[in-house]
Amino acid sequence: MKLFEVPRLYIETSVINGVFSKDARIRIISSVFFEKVRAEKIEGHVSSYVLAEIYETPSVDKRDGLLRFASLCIADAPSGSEVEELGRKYVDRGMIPKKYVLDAYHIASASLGGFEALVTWNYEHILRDRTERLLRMVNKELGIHVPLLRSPEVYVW
Amino acid sequence: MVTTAELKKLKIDAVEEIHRIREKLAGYSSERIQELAKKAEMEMEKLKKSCTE
Repeated sequence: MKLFEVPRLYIETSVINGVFSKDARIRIISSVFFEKVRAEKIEGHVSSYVLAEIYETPSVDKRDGLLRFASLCIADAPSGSEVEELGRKYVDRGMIPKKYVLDAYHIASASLGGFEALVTWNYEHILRDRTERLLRMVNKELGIHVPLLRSPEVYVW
Repeated sequence: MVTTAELKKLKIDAVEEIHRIREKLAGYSSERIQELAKKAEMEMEKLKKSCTE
């Protein structure tokens, strides 16, 4: 990778939702992040899991707002049986709780899609040492690309 | 001393909202998730058209 190449990033749903956060820090950073996507300084990619989660947002007005931001991204990240099988492996290895298997599908999509990083606000299950170590271990065992796990803050300053 | 309960108060609303949706989607089949994604793509197209009209 060239140092100043536009980064190809998997955008997890919480970053899009972050634009509408009540927390000013989350809202501002998420908004600036998407300004960089709009300005093509970041190449954002989303999967069917991101789109399905947005579609299930209870408020139609908010859903439409989220879809406007999602449409700044390329909807080509992998989904389907191979992704879900890998996601379930992550759950079986204790990387992600079973109840949040969708968290694991996002990581699997970012891995199989070969993205530089998965960007998320989810510190509880994704942006943590345990997940990073297990992801590196499992993906290396399987010969799969290991994406970085990043907060959007890394890309805005 | 800081407790786990206090740590949980630091949860991010943008993540919590998605987690509630994610708990629901965890019970959906792969096909159902793809159907929802297709519907979302159709809505995105509608929104794009409404912006250009």
